[in-house]
Amino acid sequence: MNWHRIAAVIDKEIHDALRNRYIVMLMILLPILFAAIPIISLASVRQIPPSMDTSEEWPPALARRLAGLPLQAQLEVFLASQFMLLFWVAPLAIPMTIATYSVVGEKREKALEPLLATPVTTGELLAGKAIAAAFLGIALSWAGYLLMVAAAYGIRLSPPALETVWGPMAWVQIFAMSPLITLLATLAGLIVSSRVNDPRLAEQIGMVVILPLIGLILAQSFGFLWVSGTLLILITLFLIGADALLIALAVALFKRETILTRWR
Amino acid sequence: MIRTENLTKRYNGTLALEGLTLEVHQGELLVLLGPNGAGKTTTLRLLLGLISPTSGRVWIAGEPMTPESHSLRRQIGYLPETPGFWERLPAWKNLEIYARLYGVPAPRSRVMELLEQFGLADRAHDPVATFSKGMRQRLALARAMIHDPPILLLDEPTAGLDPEAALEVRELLRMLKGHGRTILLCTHDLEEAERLGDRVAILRTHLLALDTPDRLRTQRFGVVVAIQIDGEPEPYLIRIQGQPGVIQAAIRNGRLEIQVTDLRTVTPHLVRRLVEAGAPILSVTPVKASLEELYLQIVREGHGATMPG
Repeated sequence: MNWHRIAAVIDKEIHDALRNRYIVMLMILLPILFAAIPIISLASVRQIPPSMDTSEEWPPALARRLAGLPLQAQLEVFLASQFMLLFWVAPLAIPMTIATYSVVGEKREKALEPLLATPVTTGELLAGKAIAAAFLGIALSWAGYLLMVAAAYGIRLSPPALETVWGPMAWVQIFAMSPLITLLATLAGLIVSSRVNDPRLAEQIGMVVILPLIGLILAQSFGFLWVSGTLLILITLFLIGADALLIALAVALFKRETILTRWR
Repeated sequence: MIRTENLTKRYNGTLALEGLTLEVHQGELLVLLGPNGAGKTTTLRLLLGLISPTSGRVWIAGEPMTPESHSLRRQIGYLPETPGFWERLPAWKNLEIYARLYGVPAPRSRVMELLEQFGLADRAHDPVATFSKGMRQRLALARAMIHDPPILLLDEPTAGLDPEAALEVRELLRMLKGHGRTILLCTHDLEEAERLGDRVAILRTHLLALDTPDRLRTQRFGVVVAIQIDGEPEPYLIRIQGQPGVIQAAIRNGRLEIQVTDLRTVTPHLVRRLVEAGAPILSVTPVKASLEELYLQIVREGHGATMPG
């Protein structure tokens, strides 16, 4: 692996993405949305009358966690926990768009052949593309997350809710899980992008790999399970393995000859 | 500098190239001619290690080239049939990325130097999407030259260009040839092949001919001299036929066209015979078949002339 060449590929991908209006628009809107939606929802909890008793409605796993808290704090913790899960998949929109257009777009522009004629190896090329795509998405979701944390302190959430958005479990979700999920989806996007002709199809197929995670998010939303610290660590370890596997798979499936000779 | 041995490529059973053995010497410009689908682009891709041969081998600068020979690609500058740029990026950024991929020291100054040299300095910051075909082709040549390679592989660099842009590109090719580079040029433009090529290779899945255009002409058509006579040439035709060194004589375009074994020794003898016969000679000119005639004959026959390498 030559890091100078990887850096050149990253530079190209980021410059190219920054000249794509659709991506730039997403880059501006997403961090604002990431921050605004949770904060507006959390602030609206204050409108609920404190006399309302909902404690018996919580799923059992959550009910144990919320036991003894005032109603508003319970609602804040519940909502904050849901929004933290949203940050698992929030950074995906930009990297998936970049990754899926990355190889297909270059094939369409016929820019892949001269690129493959350089000394760049398949591993370097895919690493550069994946890092660039994932970096933009992660950076923006982190920006959105930090805005949300600042706003959470600004609207004075209850201490248990604050700990939910800015505490060890939140950090694992934001700084470990979210990048790993983003990398997973990006690699899937790249693999599909190097095998199909249509970027939209690539995006849709690429998204399939994150369906189990979306299932997990929905399961928590509907109260079927509660994502505990242990489960978070297990998911993180699983994601590290899945990412490593997908990197190897991406390199193995990127067939230069097929891409050059079967793509018109 | 470039050597192939019995190079064959099949795509899913379809033969694209068969048994190509050739050598391109250092500083030589070899033109690869052939109809569409003759295997020219396949040959370039095999030389670059972009695709692997079904059988046979390639050497670049003495090293075997395979799809895994990444660092050997530094020896080669490549201009594909379609230039293929990152359209949204400005010209300088396109080149700078390539400079870094090739490990060029001080990439930015090299980029600016080339943009200046190829007449694109004033458009350096414009997106490539706004460039004309001619400008793209010049930029593609600059990209192929970014790492100052000793070998250039150029796939139809003037295809689809208007005459002015094609002339500009041809001038650039002449300039590049002047620096001792080994160049393999694929083209359909026979005039370009004649002007630029040291040797031509004619390909139609397999190699049909490989030599200098002049030698190929001699081998195919022999040497022809045309003698223009003031008046009817018919009475003099009989005086020429059967003379030593004359292979064939005929009247074409109102003049005597005589195929001879050797221009220098036979022509003075023929002129003497005609003058003795009272022929009022207006002009004596050697006739050179066009490369087009030569090419068409070789391709139509579809079998080899001589291939001395």
